[in-house]
Amino acid sequence: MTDVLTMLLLVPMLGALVVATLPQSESRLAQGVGLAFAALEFLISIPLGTGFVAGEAGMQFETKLPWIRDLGIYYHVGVDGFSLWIVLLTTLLTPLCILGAWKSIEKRGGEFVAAMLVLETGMIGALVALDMILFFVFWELMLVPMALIIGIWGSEQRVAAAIKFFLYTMIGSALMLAAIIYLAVQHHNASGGVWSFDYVDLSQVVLTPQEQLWCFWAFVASFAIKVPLFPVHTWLPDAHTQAPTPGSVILAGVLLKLGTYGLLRFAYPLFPLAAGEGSQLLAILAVVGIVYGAMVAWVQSDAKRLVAYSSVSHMGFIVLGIASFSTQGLTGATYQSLAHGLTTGALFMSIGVLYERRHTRAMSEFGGLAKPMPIFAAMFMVAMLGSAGVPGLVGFVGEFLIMVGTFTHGGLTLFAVPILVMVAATGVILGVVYLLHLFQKVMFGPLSNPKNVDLPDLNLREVLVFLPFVGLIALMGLYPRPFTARIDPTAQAAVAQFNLKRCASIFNANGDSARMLAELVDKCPDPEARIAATYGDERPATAAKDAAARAAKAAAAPAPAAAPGDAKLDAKVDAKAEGKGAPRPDVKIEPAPRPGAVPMDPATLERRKAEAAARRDAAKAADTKAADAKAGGNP
Amino acid sequence: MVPITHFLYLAFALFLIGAAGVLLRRNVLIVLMSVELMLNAANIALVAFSRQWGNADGQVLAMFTIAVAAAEAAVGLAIVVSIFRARTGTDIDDLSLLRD
Amino acid sequence: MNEANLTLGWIPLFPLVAALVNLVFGRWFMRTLGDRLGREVVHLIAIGAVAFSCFYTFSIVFEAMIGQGYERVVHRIYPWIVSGETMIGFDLMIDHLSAVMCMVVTGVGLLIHIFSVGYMAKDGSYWRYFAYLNLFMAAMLVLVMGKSLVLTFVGWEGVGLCSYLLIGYYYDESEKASAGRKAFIVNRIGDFGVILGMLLIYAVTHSLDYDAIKAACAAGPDSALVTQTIFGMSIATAATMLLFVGCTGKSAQLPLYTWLPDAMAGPTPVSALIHAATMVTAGVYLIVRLNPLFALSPVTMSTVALVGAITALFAATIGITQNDIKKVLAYSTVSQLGYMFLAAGMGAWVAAVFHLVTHAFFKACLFLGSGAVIDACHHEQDIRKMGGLRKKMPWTAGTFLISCLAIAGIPIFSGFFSKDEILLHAYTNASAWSPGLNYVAYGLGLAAALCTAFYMFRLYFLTFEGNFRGDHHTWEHHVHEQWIMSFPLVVLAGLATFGGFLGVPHVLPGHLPHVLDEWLHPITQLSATFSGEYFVGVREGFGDEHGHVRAGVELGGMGLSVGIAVIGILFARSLYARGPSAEAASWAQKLGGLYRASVGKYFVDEIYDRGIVRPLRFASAVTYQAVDQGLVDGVGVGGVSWTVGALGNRARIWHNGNVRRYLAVLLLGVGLVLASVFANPTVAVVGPNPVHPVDAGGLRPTLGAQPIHIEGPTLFTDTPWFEFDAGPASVRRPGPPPPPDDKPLQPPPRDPKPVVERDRKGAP
Repeated sequence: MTDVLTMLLLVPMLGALVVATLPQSESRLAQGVGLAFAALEFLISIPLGTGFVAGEAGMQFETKLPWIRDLGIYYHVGVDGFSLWIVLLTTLLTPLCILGAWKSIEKRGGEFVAAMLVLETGMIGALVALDMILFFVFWELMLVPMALIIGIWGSEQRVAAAIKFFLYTMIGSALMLAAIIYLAVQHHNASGGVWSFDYVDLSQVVLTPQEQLWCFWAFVASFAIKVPLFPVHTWLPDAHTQAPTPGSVILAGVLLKLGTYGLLRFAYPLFPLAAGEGSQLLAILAVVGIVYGAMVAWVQSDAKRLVAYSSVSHMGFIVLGIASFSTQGLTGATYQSLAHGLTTGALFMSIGVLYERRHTRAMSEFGGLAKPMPIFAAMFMVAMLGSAGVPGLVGFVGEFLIMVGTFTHGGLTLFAVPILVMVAATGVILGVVYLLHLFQKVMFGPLSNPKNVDLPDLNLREVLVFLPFVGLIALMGLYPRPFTARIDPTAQAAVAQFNLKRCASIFNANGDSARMLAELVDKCPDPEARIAATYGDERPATAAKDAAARAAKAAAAPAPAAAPGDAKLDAKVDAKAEGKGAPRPDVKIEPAPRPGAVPMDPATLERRKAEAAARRDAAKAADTKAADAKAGGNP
Repeated sequence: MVPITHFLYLAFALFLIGAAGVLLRRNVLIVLMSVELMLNAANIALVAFSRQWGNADGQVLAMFTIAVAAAEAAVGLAIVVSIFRARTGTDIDDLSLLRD
Repeated sequence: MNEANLTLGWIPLFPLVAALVNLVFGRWFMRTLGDRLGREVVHLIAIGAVAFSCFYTFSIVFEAMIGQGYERVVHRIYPWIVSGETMIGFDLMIDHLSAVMCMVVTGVGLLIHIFSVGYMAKDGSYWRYFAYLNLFMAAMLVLVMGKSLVLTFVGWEGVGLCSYLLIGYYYDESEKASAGRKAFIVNRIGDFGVILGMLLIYAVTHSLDYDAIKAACAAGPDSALVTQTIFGMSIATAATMLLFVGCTGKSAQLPLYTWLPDAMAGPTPVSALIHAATMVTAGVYLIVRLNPLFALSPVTMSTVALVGAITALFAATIGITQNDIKKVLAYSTVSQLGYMFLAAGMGAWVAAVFHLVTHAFFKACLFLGSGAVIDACHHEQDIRKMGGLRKKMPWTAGTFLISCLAIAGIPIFSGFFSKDEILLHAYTNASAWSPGLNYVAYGLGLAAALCTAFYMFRLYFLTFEGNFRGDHHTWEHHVHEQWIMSFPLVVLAGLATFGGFLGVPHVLPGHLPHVLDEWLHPITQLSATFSGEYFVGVREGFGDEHGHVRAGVELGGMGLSVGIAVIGILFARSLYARGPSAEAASWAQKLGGLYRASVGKYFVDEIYDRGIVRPLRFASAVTYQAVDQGLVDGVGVGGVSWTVGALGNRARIWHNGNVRRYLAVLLLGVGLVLASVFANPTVAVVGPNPVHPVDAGGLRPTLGAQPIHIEGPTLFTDTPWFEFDAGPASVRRPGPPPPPDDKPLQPPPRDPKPVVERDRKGAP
């Protein structure tokens, strides 16, 4: 019972089975049972949030069981700061979606709920899997129910949209699988014969630059389509528009996040050298997506399509944060993922409410709805403002951190940072343009269409669906600390590990084969300086100088005392309280300690190698013994 | 002592006969029997290697194959019977439903 | 610095909570308690919250700061955004500058809340109005009390949001809703600048706390903000320019002022509170708050001054010809804000704040007066249909006249002192970087002062003097005054009259202290120490040995500006004392094109619409059609699917359903594979220890430098898939020892060397 993650994976599966066995005619009963299972799932997931230790960078709630032992494939699951909140978002959104779709799903309600539950398992599995094969299985598992949800319960063009969605995402996954296997083979070679598909093991492999290049882009192909990044985004508007409301909510709320999650969990840490070089392209695509998505959203006449394009714009911000690969950027990206899930989810819910009442999504059909539906207008407005990134609501925190991270610390990965940020910031203007356009068309103006005059306001069920969205949008905007405190250490560790491995990759640039990180780590006492020396440093002058100072300091004092995060903050606040002693530009904030930037230490590596060698020897010995026996038995 | 090559020649010959039967005959029943022939060719090779290396794996696999072949023959014949009922004929060239 | 820690959080929290209560329960109050009692409850909650904030603010300022001598009061509530080294606290602060702002905001805000009870008495969604108004108070208080730039930005956006909600308060009229949207979007354009400015500052100081920014500026020209550059500008210049873009948006300066006149769509008390007294002055507050930073960039300072001066005159000339009572006041606000920016740009920080305060008094009074008039005239806003209202609304007319005198700059009234100080410093201050600027700025300022006096008195005469030009019914039945609306007017008129004594010029007899100058000294002292081209203050040749302006210059300037104001008033009287005269029409005729341009507001809205909005929308539509539908979906996705489909159509002829043909192809394939194996045995070596293909002269790998070895459990390895217990080895029938002449099937030779230990070349 202590294994929360496994429970989280099993409960929805079980729920889906139960629901699937219920008679088809009992649609409401099936929905009720499904809702109960989804709610149970949410309750189970609560200890995940409360039990997660803030301030720790590594994996928590880990479970590792053998699956295919000979190939080193394990059932290995765990959560850290990157995945924790998205898992919780998933468990929160699924019951809300089932509840929200109570009325709007008119046919085969039981099967719909079953599909939602399978989808939930897939999403949570992909988020918590720490074994690449396990991850891949769940990654593919998500596709099927989603395609069914779009294809069976969608609107007019549903089948075409489902096929488009399925094909687009399949193309990417195939490449990713190839890269996973290649990486495992290289790990086997580099580690001296240990088979493993474990993420922790594979992240210790330093591939040669060319290998990194191929593998990185193979991963990116899969994730960028899911995000979706600018030129491969066209499946999204179709899928969103055609999907039923809960499908859109889950799609925007969680499924897209898996693309960015994959980028920051797998693509970047596994292939840091190629990632560092590829970031520029990703960032440019992200920034183009921000502006492009916003502009295109503005000219849509279909409300749902508008929100879909706004997703393209918002996801661009997240990718930009990841491309900067800075602490703030990663924390911001993860936070923005949550923000986008909540705000866009709420926006889709709102449009779902309209669709349920009027069976149309055309904005021109509406107008002046604030009069008959004041509660709905209030909910819709909070969602819209959160999406627009008004400070004090959830959207601002992530965007701000992403921009700070990109602008101030992104220079090691990105070039021409000020221009990137400047273009990205125009998204702030454009975001308001299309969202207010939407809001005004639907909510304001005279009640010109007689069909809208008597529209009922939200009923209790719908209010219950909206309240968590609205509450979290406000709460997470005002008090993000509990969330960021759990994301931030992971982000810091990820950045440190990324830089370390990137530096190691530089040293392996002329090598002809993959090597283990531990063999190269001695050469990288100050990774940032080494990277800056190789690629140049585009960070604003002071930040770069900080790095130089830090390098000098690191050279002078090899082991800087790692102050715990909170104590450091307090110290900073105190320094400010003294007024005159406020942080001056010459007073350097201590570099963040590198929690979690632990390559497999040489001892472990040696042990592993020795184990492998021992296994071989034992096998060989057995072989010889058998041969001897044979020889002896046949004198 | 018969060298292993002799077994392999036999297996090869059997396999070729089977393959030719599958390819050239039009009657489904004959085709099925030819398939059996090919399976047995494989069995002979397996058993021969097993004897060569003093390892029983090959013989075990041959046992498996025989069992599977029996099942396959049963299923195959059942299909043939149902086809015969539906089409009143077992000419393989009449059966081209796999297209499209 | 001696600072006190007090829970300042209550000040914005109370209006916030009141807003939430009214939002959630307001409708319920009105329904269950009945209309009359419901309204009482709603406005008592709202006004009570603001009154509390006001009382708390004043008690902190007078008790802690003046009484006990604390330099500032700080409340660190909690760390808000924390990541890596970034640490943005949710910290509030009242220092000398915030104190002034807070008192103005809560004081004027309270009066306007009271006024609203009368003005909105018949409104259907009374609760919504007060909720928004309270929300605005909370946001505005966060803006002025924020201890860091980010928190100020929170308030900055918050007031923008409330402004949007309140402008579009009558949302069922499309035009009014659009006006709200326009305000929000234009403000967002400014916010774009603020965000980038914040980032630039952060890049240097690694903090956005005002203390940190001030500390970073302490080194003056040697600070990193000046020495580091971006795109050829110093960071200080780039950052302040970007922040100033935000200020032009929020404070309605050229070129982003267009939203403010449209914002008059909101209820009139809103215009008084948000679009005259408080929110629009946020830009001025921001510049004064960051005065050391702005002082470090002479380029920005000159730009600010010039933009302010041009805006002052530009808006004033539009105000002359408008006929909507609120539009006149709106352009007047834009113009007066221009004065404040002129002062800030000239480094006369105190003068800017001084005018901010007095303007809040008299402009709020003017707007509320206009609100009373509009209410009395049955929501008629056209001054051509008013006139003679003084007879029925003496209090309103009196307070309006006082405020007009104040804004025109007639001595004794507050506007005289503040505007005169601005004009004086426009003349005497100028940085060495832009030597002639002061003459230009002073000239523009004087011209604007002439226009101001003229259009304000045109407004007064047309509204309150002469005969009523509206319909008889309205005059008989509607025009009257309400006590609840007159009371705030009287208070504000009193402030507009005596507020000027906060800053009496040194030269006047009596030698009263310049209270505001002394009060704000801690805020401005740092920038006063800069020298050279960063010098802000009275230039050499204009000042005496104490740094004060020479008496002659000061008195001369005073005389000139008062003279100009009197001319403007007299001219307005001659044209409009008895309603619109023929003479006025002939003047309009004479001015011709100029007049039409002014009436048409110089067609700026039209230019923006045709030049920016429509092209952008067109470009978006084209992008959508061409790139999304055409290129990506059409050529890209469509192309791929077409190609696949076409290839599939070609390939389908092979799949004719003939099983035997399938089999034949299959066998052929197997044969080919076998043949290739026999031709080159090193291609597929399966087993634990493969021969290196390169060594064997086989194929070279194409990907990476090392061949891929597929290694692992196979049928032939020493670790079998499943254990098969064949009994003891002796029982097993032994295989025959391979004959010496029968070797081709030997397993490949074993290479005990592990792959990983192979020699690496080129590793550094």
